Amino acid sequence: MLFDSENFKLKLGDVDILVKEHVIGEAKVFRINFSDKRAPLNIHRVSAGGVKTWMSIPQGRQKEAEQIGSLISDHFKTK
Amino acid sequence: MCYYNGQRVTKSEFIRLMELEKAVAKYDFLDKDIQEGFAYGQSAVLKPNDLKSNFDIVQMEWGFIPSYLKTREDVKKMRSGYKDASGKYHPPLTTLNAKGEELLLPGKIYRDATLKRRCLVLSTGFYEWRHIFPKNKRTGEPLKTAVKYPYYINLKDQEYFYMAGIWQSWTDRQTGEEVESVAIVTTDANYLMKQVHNSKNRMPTILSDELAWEWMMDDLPEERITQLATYQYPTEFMQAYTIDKDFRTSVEPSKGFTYDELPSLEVIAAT
Repeated sequence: MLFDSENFKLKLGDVDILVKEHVIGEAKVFRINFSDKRAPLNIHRVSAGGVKTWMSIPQGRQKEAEQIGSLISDHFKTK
Repeated sequence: MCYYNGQRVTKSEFIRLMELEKAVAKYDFLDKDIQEGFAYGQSAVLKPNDLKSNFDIVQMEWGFIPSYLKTREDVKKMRSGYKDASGKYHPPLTTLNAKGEELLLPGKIYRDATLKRRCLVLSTGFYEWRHIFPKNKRTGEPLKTAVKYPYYINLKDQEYFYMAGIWQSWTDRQTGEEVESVAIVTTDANYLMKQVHNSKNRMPTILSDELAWEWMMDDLPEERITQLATYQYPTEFMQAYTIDKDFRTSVEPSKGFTYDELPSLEVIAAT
C-alpha cells in the first residue's frame, strides 16, 4: 500500500526538514524535504552486517541518511 | 556479500534495495503537496489494466499531448506560443485541463481519449487564487487590479481523492520518446469554489469512490460520460484555507496562512 503516511517536522542544525513516511510494498521509506532547498532525500532502515543502519535511496547520500535517520529514531522514541 | 552506500549487505538485501530504489523513483511524485501545472511535471494517475479488472498506479505528464504533434519541439511551441514561417503568432494552447461539458464535441482533441482512455488523477489537494478588488479610498469604487490570495483546497476527512482525467500515449517521431500524458477534467465551480476561484468559476471534477470506478472502468454511453465529467462535488465535503503567497518554494506549501484583510469564505456545514 502506498498511501499510509505520517508527516512531521524536525530540525537538522539550522535547517528545517519535513519528513514524510511512505510504505512502498512492505518497506517503509522516509522522504525528506529541506528548507535550504537541497534536493529531497529518501532514506530507509536496513540491516547491514547484522546491524540496523539508515541508508539513502538511491545510493550516494549516506552521511545525511545516517544523520537524519538518527533524528527520526529519536522522534519515534520520544513520541 | 554486496555493498550499498558503502555498507556491506547480503545479496538478498541488495536485491531488495535495488527493487526499492526502482519503486521510489517511480513514486517520487507522490509526496508533492502541490503540483505546479505549468511545470508540466509528472502526476500520479490510476489507469485501468487491459482487462479493466483492476488498475495500475502510474505517472503521467500533466498536460495532454495531442496526437497531431510530431516532436517535443512542437509540444513546446504549442505550450508556449510561437510565430510560424509567415510571422503569424499562434498563442499558447493549454491542455492541463479539459472542460467536462466540451470533451465529446465533434473535432475536440479530447474526444477519442474521453471515449477510450478515462483515468483518475490522484490528489491530496490543489490550490487556486481568489481575486479581491480593493476599493479606491477616495471614490469607494473597486480598483481595476485585483489582489490575489492563494488557497489550498482539499476534502474533509479524506487524505486522497480522485479527479476525473483522460490520457493519451504519444511518441516523439524524431527521438522515439514515449510519453503518457493526462488532462484533468473540469466542471463549473460549486458554491465554495465560486468564492475561491472567482476569476474563472471552475473546479476539477472530483469523483466519489463509486463514481470514480464507473468513470474509469465502465463502458458508458456519451450522455453518462458527460454527466460524470460535469459532476460537481458537494461544497459541504470540501474545505479551503489560505496559504502563504510564497507557497511554491515553501517546504510545507499547504500550511495555512492568515491574511487579516481578507473577508472569510461563506461555508456550508456538512449535515
